[in-house]
Parts: sequence; C-alpha cells; structure tokens
Amino acid sequence: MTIFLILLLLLIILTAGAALLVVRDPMHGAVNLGVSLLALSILFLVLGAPFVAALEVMLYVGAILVLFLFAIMLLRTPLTTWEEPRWRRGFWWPAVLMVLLTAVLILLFSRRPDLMVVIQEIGPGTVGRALFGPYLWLTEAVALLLFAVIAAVLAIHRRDDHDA
Amino acid sequence: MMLFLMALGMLFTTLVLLGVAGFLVFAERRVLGFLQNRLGPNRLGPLGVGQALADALKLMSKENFVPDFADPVLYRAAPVLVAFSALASFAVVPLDHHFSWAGNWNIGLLFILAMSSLNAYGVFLGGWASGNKFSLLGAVRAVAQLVSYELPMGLALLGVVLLSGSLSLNGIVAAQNLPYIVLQPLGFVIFLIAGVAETHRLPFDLPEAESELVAGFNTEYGGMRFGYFFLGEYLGLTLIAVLTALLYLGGWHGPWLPGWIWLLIKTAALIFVFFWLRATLPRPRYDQLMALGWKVLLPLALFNVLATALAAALWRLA
Repeated sequence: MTIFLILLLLLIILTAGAALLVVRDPMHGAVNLGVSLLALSILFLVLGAPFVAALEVMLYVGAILVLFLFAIMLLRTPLTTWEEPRWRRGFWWPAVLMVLLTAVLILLFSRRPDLMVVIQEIGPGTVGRALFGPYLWLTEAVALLLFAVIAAVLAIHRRDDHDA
Repeated sequence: MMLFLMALGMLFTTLVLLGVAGFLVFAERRVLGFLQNRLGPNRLGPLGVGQALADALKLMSKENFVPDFADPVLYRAAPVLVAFSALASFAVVPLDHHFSWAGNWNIGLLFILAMSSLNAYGVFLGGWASGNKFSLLGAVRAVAQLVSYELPMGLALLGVVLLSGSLSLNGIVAAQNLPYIVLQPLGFVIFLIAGVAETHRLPFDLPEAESELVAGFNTEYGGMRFGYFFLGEYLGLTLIAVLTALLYLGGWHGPWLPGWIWLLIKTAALIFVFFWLRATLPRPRYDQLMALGWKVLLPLALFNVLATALAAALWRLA
C-alpha cells in the first residue's frame, strides 16, 4: 500500500513537471511547479523524513518559487491568451493534480494500519546530529559558500550606491 | 467509525475556529470604537454581538462572480488557499498538554512556518489573478513583505528551539519552567513585530493599504471569496497570538486556573494588543518597512541566536 502511495506521488510530481513544459502562461507554469514541489514534500513525509519535508515546503515552495513568481509578476506578461486550445491553458491540470494530492493526504492521515509506513522515521534531532557530526566539514563548507554569496550581494549593492 | 469520529472532530474544530475568527471581526470593530472614543457596532443583540453573524450572512448571500479580466481558476483557488493554510496550522497548536491534534509532532513549528509560506501564495496568486493594477501592486508588496519578515521570524524562533531542544509545541511549553519572555526578551519583540507583518495587519498592512491601493490584493474580490481572505487574516492573527503565548508566555502554565483557560487569557490579551497597535500606530512608508525588516530585525535576530547559543553553551559548561 505504501508502494501505491509512493507511485501515486511520483505520478503527480512527474505530471506536474510535464505540465510545466506544456503550459504557455508562466504563472500557470509556476503553480504547476509548486504542486510538484508540494507532492515531493509529501513523498519525503511518506518515506519517513518529516524534517526534510517541512524544509522542502519552507525553502523551495516558500522562498525559491516565490522569487520566480516575483520575477514573473514584474515582467508584466498579459493574462491568459485566449486563442490557445482549451487543454493548453493549464487551468485544469493543477486542479486535477491537487485533487489527487488531497486524496493521498487523506489516505496518509487516515492512519489505517495497512497504510502505515513501516520505514523508520528520521526526526530533526537525528538530522542535526548527522549534520554536525560526520558531515561537519561539508556543512561548514556550505556555510562558507553562503557567506561568500552574502558578501558578494553586499559588494554589488555598494558599487551601485557609488555610481548613483 | 474511528475515521468518522475524527472527521467529525475536525469539522467541529474548524467551525469553532471560524466562529472565533468571525467574532474577532466584531470584537475588533468594537474595541477600535472604544479606543477612538466612539461606540462601534452595538445595535444587533446584547452589546452588538449579533453583528458577527450579520456580517457572515451578508458575505454569504452576496453574488459570487469572477471578473471578465481575471484568471478564473487561480482567482477561485487563492482565497481557499489562504483560509486553508491558516486553518491547517492550528492542527499542531495544543490547548493543553494532552489536548491537540498533533501537538507532539516533532516538526510542529516547521509545519507552521511551511503553512505560512503557503498562505503567502494565496495572497499573491489572488492579487495576480485579479488582473487589476492595484491588486498586482498589492500582491508584489505582499510577497516582498512576507519574504522579508519570514527570515527574522524564523531566526527568533530558533532561540526558543535552542533553549527547549524541541520543535514540537508540546515540548516547547513543557520545557518552560520560566516563561521564555524572560530568557528571550529580544526574540519575543522580534517575533511579535514579524508576526504583525506576516499577517499584514496595521501598521504593516501595506499590501492592502486602502488610501493607496484601494484594497490591495483583494480589490476585485467580493462575497464569500472576500470572506475567505478576511477569515484567513483573522485566523492568522489568532495563530500568531496563540503561538506567542505558547512560545514566550509559558503556554498553559499558570496558577489556580486550568491550563487551557490560562492559554485563552494570554491569547486574548495578545489579540487585544494587536487591536491596540492598529488604533495607535500610523502606517510606515514601504521603504521604511523593508529597512526595518532587513537592517534592524534581521541583524538583531542573528545576534539573538548567537547570544542564545553562547549562553546555552556556557550554561552547560558551568
């Protein structure tokens, strides 16, 4: 039964990803991407990684996709082009996928014993101990990289100030 | 049977929360009235309590239509997303240490932050799908504001998580022998300010500033769809108040009275503070809002995390 759930989630992720390629309106593409990422997060939850699932929604849906949307909004693309064939307008894809996603969620939270995941759950504590234990050097390297990015942003910003 | 009972319980929880949100709309108008030396709505029922019901009936009986220039599906989906994400967050909020849907979930706090990101989607998809300049401007403002204030909010929460060693709300309240407002005064202030900004309430209501943007992101909405946005806003307000009470004011800890009553008292007091803020403070300019978020709150929140971590390490050494 878990396999069924996982397959369904994979189907949603892939279909939403494919819809992203077909849809013309960039905003609908972004919404499809959002659905795909949400399904991915639920997949993490099913596989016993709640911490990664929460971070997936917070960082990818909540921050990175937001930047995409911000750019799309400021590009001032006109709203839907009505000449397109109906199936390409991309209205229904996300709706159908969201219905599927909701069905999966209901199955997931119904807590029927035959649906319960047997995979061992990795909580936030375990992730933290792994990050600051065996993977400490990698974590520090990523931190350094991020720090360099922040410094670069500040430097670019300063130069603009001088020009003005 | 179990499933049926659970569904019934969820329905009941939802209805109670919707009732609270509806009542808060009335309470805010009444409190604002008194703060501004006038009466506020006092006609319907004792003290005007019936006003909440009348408002709900009015919104529900209005025509639901989609403007010609709007993007139909996103226009319909956005308000539902706002109300849903606010309601879903309450699943991890405990009223007492054994009275909640998922108060023990080991990623409870992260779940709330994730839901607040989804809430932002509702706001700006609504603004974008309306196909109106004012809505779009409101949506752009909302996105920038929510992204900017989510950061200091998360960092302020990190201080609490460091002290309690838990991401579940039950665990955090259980760890508070001393309310964390004493140990984390800076974090408390940052969380409260960021919370007001996250729910885009006055004085941070620039996404819907009525004197500049008509009604911002919900300009084109009417009837119950507008009602959903409204419910989402007041549920978000309640959520921030409950969270502040749980994380910083000791949750259900308190003498004499049962725990959940203490939590309700603390929450109600915080909600009153939000009303009070609205009646007192003027709206800042947009660049002032951004500057406060990035140049004041973010460095302060980073400092708070560092100081907390150092203090906790020293405490452990001693």
